[in-house]
Amino acid sequence: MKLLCFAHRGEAQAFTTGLEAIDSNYYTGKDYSVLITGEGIVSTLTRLPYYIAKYDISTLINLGVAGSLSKHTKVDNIYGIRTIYAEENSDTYFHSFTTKNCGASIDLITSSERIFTEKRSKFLSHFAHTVDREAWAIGKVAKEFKLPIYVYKIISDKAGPQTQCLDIKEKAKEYSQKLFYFYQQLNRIETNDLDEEELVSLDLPFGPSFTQQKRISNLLNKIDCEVCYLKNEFLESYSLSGNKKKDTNLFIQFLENKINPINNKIHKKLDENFDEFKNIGAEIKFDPKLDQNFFTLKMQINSQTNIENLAQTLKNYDYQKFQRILNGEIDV
Amino acid sequence: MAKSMFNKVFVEHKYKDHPKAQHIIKQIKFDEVVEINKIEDIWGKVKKPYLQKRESLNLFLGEKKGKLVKEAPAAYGHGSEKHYYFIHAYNCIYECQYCYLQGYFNTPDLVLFLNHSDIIDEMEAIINTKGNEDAWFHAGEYSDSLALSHLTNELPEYYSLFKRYPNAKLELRTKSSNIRSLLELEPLPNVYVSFTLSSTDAAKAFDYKCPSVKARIKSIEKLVCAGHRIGIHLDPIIYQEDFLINYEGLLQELKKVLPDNQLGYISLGVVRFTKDVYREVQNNYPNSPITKQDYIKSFDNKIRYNRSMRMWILNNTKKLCLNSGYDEDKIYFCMEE
Repeated sequence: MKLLCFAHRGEAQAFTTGLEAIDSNYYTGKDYSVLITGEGIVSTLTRLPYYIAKYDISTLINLGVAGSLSKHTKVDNIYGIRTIYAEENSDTYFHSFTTKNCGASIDLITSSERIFTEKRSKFLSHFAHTVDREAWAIGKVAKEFKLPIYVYKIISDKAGPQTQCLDIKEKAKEYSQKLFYFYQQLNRIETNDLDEEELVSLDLPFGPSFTQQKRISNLLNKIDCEVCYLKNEFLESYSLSGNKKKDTNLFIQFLENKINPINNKIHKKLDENFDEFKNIGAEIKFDPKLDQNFFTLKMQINSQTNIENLAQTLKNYDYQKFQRILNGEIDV
Repeated sequence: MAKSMFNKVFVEHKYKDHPKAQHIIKQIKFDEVVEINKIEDIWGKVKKPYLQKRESLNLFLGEKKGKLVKEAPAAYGHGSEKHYYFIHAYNCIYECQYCYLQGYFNTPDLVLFLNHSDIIDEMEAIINTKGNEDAWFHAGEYSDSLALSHLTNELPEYYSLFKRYPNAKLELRTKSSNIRSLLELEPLPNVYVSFTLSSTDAAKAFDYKCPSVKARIKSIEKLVCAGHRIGIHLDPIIYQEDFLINYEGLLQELKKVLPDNQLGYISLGVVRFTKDVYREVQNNYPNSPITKQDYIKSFDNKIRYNRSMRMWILNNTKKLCLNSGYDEDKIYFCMEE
């Protein structure tokens, strides 16, 4: 459900007609709900999370009036907002929130107080084209709840000494109707454009573990190829062992090879390079990420022969060759 | 919105009548000039999304305070001398997908510092310190050093310093083909104009709003003809299936215009990011092939290819440089262990 947030009841009046009043601030209908957040950051931060937690909200849309700080924002026009900043006592908040409004080029700054002086208006104009009293708080809540946010503002006046709050209040019905008409005109409201994460069904003949699935998803995201083609190519090129874990790892290796063909070659070369250690029963481990410049050797010693074999193998081992392979020399 | 180069030009009070500020303001298109006390009162005070530089770029003119010349990290430059970089600007008019500036500052807004004489004084003091007479000074760490040089017009001042100190070296790092100001200057053997190049395919894919590789090579040709010394940065190299063939083509084109005797050095580096920058890249360019690569968190906590992949790329690219006839001593790997 979309939640339409307004600071004041007057701005919301065209939207609440026909909606069921759940309480004095919250109205719900078939297509959207409406919340009166109250004016200011604190009021919004106090009220909005409660309703998001209580009801199934998918998108936040802030509509209302804003003051102009720039020649680019004209009185009575409605603008989609791009980025929301905030200011309190002439100091800006560092964090900003960017809306999902496609193509918007107007920014807004939420002020901790109403703007009645040229000095304040000028200061705020360094950061944004318009000023309001609550959008930043809605952006903050949207971020916390990982909800998309859209902001549309109608410009009531030029922020500064000429601001007349009573005049704005008197025109609230008119603004509300204009916003309502605008909202209806949004043919395909951008909020329908939400990114639904597509779950890829691999339908592989083996079942990856959670960690393997995560790795596979990560790798698939990096390969510009249809999953079904990858799957077919894999099944045609490799013979499966029937061991789920092994086969999944083989598939992971196949995908890794697609992204980084050098890695597999290096892995193979390093494995070959340690053949002699393996032949005497030693276990060699090197950094699977191929980034660390060392390997570790582990061997169970239960006879003098083991010691002699190990000593001889170590003596014959060419460490420089290990280094060269690790440095990408595949042809050594 | 008006299609100016800059939305607003913020000028520090102290510099509003400065000839350099006046010169810049006269030559650019903007919506409005605003006088401010200090750049840091506005610039970077709020987190401005990086990609807004496409539509809403502001320009700040004023004074660089604090340290003006800084020691460069290890493996930054060529040779065993000490390396320093100096800060003449913040941010860039170009938009490269891998650029570290997108996660470095909190805003893409451009800052041009006007107190070049202070920077030059600090450089001179360093050169005059024992053991530093042959130090390197690099421009272009936080901004392209030539892209706006026709506006900022500071190059003659730097050339004058390096003419007086022939053992010290200056590097001007750029992706620009804006060499107008340079061509008016007498070339100096200790000043290197260093171009960052990549294959044509890579540049088309990743270097937005930058001059094409062809235009950059043309600029190299003009500078070589005028007698300037050239540095080349093949950095960052991004792995793509045909990258070796593409870089071979690039080096063939380069060799046609840049003889070894006018080449100072070639630095090679692979793509790498800090964690913050990589997060920004993923956010800004989610579908870019850059974000589809197989990186790891490496020895220096940077996100990059693993050692084998890095060294494979670097060694093979080095071979291409050698095959083109460039001297091995002039080739080095940038920011590697």
